[in-house]
Amino acid sequence: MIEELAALAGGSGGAGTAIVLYQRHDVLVVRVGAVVAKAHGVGSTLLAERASFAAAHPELFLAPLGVPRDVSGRTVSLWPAGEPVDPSDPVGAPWEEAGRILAALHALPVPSGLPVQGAPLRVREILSRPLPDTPAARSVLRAYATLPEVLEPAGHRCVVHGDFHLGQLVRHRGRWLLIDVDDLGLGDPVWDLARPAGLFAAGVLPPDVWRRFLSSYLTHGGVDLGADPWTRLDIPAQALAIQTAARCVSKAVDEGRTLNEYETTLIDACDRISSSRTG
Amino acid sequence: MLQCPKCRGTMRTFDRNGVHIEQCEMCRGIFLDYGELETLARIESQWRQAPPPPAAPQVVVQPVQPGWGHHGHHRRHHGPSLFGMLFST
Repeated sequence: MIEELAALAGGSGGAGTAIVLYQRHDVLVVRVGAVVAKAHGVGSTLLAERASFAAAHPELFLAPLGVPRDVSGRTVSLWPAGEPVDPSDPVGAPWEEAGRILAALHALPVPSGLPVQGAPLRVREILSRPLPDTPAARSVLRAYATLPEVLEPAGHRCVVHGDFHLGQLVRHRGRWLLIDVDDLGLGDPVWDLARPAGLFAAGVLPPDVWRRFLSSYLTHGGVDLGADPWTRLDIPAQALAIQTAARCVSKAVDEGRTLNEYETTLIDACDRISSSRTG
Repeated sequence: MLQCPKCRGTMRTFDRNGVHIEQCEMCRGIFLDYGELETLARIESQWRQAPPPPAAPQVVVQPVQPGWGHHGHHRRHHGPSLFGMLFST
């Protein structure tokens, strides 16, 4: 598949050596020079509709190169290569820009033809994968067992990214844009804020960073979350904290290492989630 | 001692311009009794009108926390090991 993606990217103007940017489960992303080819997960649906929404909103999304195509039974899309957020400096990341872009996305009129967003489904998918039998994994599963069903509530419908985190921002021609439309769709906008919210509440993300992100979102016309944003944020934030913790646990095992201090902090948060409900 | 309705922390009473305010020592949430918000608003508007205005009370907006939130010091260093959590699904 790597060769096929490299050939496609090369045929669309990419020049140079093929570099694998991401390979996990059934998702593969390959960059050749200025062009990125992505083979989407087997379970990905309605990619054409989602990519066409991105193409129609180039002020918010990196616009795809052409339409998704079938390559050996897989859906493949092509994108210009953008510059990612510097991973060594999460505090210096464009959190204000992220808040502004999400606010603008959530304010768009709801179009027809877009499916439901993927965030709640993703939580269930990731937590349904087997975890190693470790104390940390048991903390994660205990917390997940106390979590109310994370179905999309009725109402609060707008266009949401569905899987927002810092890896979903790239700079292209001087402006920050969203990438990855796989989970894009209609849903409750709080899910797009829930990852930073969950990591802030867990004690991982500094309060000041969370404040920068949330203030920017609200001052740029984001959805009104009322006097206490946690009324709506709480359950999605817990869900994504648990999902992230599950990812950390399996990643640490894959890499044959113990949990780092952030991951341990996140596992502690899972324990607090459990005890906040079981008393 | 009053308990914070949000995080079960201890509420500390203090006096601000003659209004008793309960503030949670953990999440910094503030609890106002009936009519106290109006009293504070009235005092504030009197200050605005009275020249020269005395220094306004410093209001520090703390990010509020949910009940399961982390209380105490957040991690001080934020290097590459934070990467995985913030940058991948």
